Amino acid sequence: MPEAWYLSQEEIASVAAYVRRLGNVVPEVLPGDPARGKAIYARNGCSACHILDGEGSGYGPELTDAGARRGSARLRETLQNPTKTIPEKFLFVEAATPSGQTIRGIRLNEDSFTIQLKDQQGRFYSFRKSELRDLKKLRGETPMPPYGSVLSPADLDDLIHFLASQRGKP
Amino acid sequence: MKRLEQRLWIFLLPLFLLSCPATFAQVPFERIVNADKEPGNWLTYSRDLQGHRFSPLTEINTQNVSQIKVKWAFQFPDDRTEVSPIVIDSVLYITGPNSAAALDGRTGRALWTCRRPIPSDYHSIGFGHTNRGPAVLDDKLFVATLDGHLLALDLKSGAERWSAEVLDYKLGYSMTMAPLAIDGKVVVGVSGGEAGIRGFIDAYDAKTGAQAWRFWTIPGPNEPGHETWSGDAWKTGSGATWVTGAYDPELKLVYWGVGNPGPDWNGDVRPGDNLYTCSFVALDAATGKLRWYFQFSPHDTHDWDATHVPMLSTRKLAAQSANSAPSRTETLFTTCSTAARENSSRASPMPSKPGPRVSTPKAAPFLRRIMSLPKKEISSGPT
Repeated sequence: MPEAWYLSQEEIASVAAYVRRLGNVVPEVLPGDPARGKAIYARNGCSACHILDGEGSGYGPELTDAGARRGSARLRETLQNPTKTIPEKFLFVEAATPSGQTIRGIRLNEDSFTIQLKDQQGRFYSFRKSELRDLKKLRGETPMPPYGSVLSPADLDDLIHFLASQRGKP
Repeated sequence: MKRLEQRLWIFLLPLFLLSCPATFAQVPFERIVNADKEPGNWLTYSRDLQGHRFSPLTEINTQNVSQIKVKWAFQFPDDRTEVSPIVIDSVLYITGPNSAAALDGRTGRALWTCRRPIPSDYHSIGFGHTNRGPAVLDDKLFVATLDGHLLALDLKSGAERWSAEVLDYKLGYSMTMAPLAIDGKVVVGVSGGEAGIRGFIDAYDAKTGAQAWRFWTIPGPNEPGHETWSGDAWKTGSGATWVTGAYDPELKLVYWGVGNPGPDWNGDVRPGDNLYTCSFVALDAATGKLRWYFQFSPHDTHDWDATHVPMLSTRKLAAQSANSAPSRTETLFTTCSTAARENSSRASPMPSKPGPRVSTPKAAPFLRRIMSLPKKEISSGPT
């Protein structure tokens, strides 16, 4: 990479600011009340699976910077129908152990011989695949329930506005 | 149909939430206090709060240790790490410089990783980029970073729960040691003894990250011990605290070693004993107040840090057979805190120069025996 000797300090700062912004969602003007959305987030138990600003459970994705990573349209789609927006590497699996136990959890790692899971209680499991009675990859499934039919349109707007305002820690 | 679906979800949602409870407390303090009951786990830096660093496991022993082979390897991208892993139910929690990971003990696969960028203007002065391990309490993993932050990470996902700014790295401070989790608090020390710092030991509320107390290893003006410094030397007199201490949950005392005075090899600019450098301090866990200290090397000019891991043991000092005092202070120092407390009525007066000195009579019975050792053993240099 050539040295950018031809740029002034101000221009370098501007380029850096531009590059740092890439991948981040530009703030939108949204309907709804984020303060009410915060109450809806708490009332519906979202923190039972998500961490936001250090509070909650680390089963699902952290939402502290949800608004910087996801636009309002994507957030709405995820809330209304989570199976439509499953991230590329996310996989929900069901493992049947030799003792007859069935474990459902999120895949953390998998190679040719082993697989590691995390269940809804946050417990880690490590299996040798050859020792499992069955291993189902539940493609298209997610432990997150749809909220489109649980929340009113106004509540959904409030919640989306609240999540979109989560831009990460300063 | 939509109304039926809506009703169904309203009915199912509470059931789902019940099946997805908030993270439970995986490692309550009582589990760490009773670490000896869990031989397969390693719940604190020294395995127990008393600093014993002893594993009762026998599968690997002197007969077969030469046959050990690499099963798996995990490497941080950084050049080195000196970590004592925390082990909880087959999961290893390790740290590198400004990084942490949870590893499957069976395969070495990462269950989660976390990395905090090292600022481009950060410099390690007198040591390399390294980290000596994490601490755990309840549902959090605590990690000290080179650039002076104490991070509380979610044990199950690595997400940051809180971050406390312990120090300003631009003043020469840093952190490389493993934090010590005690009852409701996390205790940390600092590096930078060759960078002109004024050392301290800090405690933070484990739930919120709020600072609970700070103990300056160099007393400020009008504080006892300040008279052992001259001029402004106390402001940059070092006294780093870069090795994890020990804790007595019964006495509620934190024990910590304090490093060399600075500049270390030349004491001309800091006449005096330079308390509490090269000392061993016992602090009240609730307040951080000094309860007693022992200085191994007054006015040290040989870099004789006292930052070894304190090892606590309880025994009756009055017994004739008690003769457990180690001979080399740089290697090991054993304090009999409980016995010292119980025998405080038999206190001896403070010793005079040039031997080690004691601030209060509470530790005197044991320390008196230390001081009765041949002087050449007391003043042995570092290995």
